[in-house]
Amino acid sequence: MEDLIKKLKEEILEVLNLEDMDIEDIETEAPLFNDGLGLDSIDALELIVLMEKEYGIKIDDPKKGKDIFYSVKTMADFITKNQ
Amino acid sequence: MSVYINGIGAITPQGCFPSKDFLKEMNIFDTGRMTVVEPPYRDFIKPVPLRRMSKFIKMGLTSALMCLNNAKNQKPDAIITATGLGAVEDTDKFLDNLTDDNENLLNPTPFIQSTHNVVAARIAIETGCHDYNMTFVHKNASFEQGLLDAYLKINSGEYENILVGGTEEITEANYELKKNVEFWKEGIGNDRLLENNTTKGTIVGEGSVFFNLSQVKDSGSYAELKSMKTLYKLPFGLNRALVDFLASARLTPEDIDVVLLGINGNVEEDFIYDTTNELFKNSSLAWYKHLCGEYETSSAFALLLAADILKSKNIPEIIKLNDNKIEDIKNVLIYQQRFNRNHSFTFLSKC
Repeated sequence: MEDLIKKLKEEILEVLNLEDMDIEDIETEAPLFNDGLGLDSIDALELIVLMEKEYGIKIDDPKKGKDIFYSVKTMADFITKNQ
Repeated sequence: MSVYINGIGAITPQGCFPSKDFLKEMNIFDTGRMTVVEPPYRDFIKPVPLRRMSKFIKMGLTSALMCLNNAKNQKPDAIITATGLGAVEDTDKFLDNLTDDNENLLNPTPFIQSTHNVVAARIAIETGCHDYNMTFVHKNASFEQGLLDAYLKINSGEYENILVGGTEEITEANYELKKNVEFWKEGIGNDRLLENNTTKGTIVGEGSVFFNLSQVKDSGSYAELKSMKTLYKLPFGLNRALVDFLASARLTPEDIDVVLLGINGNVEEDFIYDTTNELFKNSSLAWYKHLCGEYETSSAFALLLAADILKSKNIPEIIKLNDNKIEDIKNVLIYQQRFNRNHSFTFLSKC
């Protein structure tokens, strides 16, 4: 799980062009959107593409997106359960 | 209505404008590509939008904001941009995605930002100007068409001030494609472009230059944009076209103090300018493409130089083609053409 979380953080930094940040700046359980990392709806689309491209997981139910992409931890949990 | 240039902002291979060191010395490029000297974009654009922007958008938006700062204008009445190729880097990215991933899983950011009008849209968001917003895409006549639109809109009294500019970026794929059809001289630096004008090709450049045009002259005004004309293929000789254009402004060639020519070192194009030597024999002849390189909206760089010459009353030594001395610079003409197809004349006066 630790390796997956580290890999996810690296991928998030890359696909979202978070140039000024390191993986240490992303708290594993902190929210990715709004008050947390401050990501927005375009970032959400990038994360959906990331999930499908890198992990082969398609999000069929858009309503679940809010919970899946709440934090790096919730993303990692979802990948572990569905891969 | 008169049309004044009240502000300029530029990101060019010679650095940013305005700057006190601009053109004090020529930046030399031996790599065959004249890339811009980029400013610290973070000084102009907030971090969140900045992280998504390609170089094309960063250059365009930042030079537009520099221009508005220079004109002491926070919000223009209208926004007009010009580009021959648009956001090529983002277009390449999403087209590569399209083929690599078999038309699935497209990343949204490059797609959203690949449209030609992305710079105009970004400026509108940043300045809160939600009025007329237009982008002109006419290959090598793009900037002239945008400038003409701005000129007519101010001249007719429709708008008081308009932000107008041109932006272009070099990308690897585009450079290689054009190399295959001998657009570029390989291994020739921009300082040796003129002495190598017996062969095909020129040197590629990029840049973004914006102007704040206004009905109202102020203490910071650079010049008055008096008239302009674009021609697709000359219907008759260049001399007649130039004389007719000047006559329409009640001028003769003798009234022109400085002529800025779009000479680019390409043997297949530079002969077109030969006739200007005789027609403007008393004028100071100058060129500019060794400073910015050849690109679709490079005539915006020429307009920057012309306006700065009129304001500073000085012709930089590095652009002079002859030794004619001009005591009082009042009138500047820009003559630019590409492939003997898109010709443009732009006439400015001191104000």
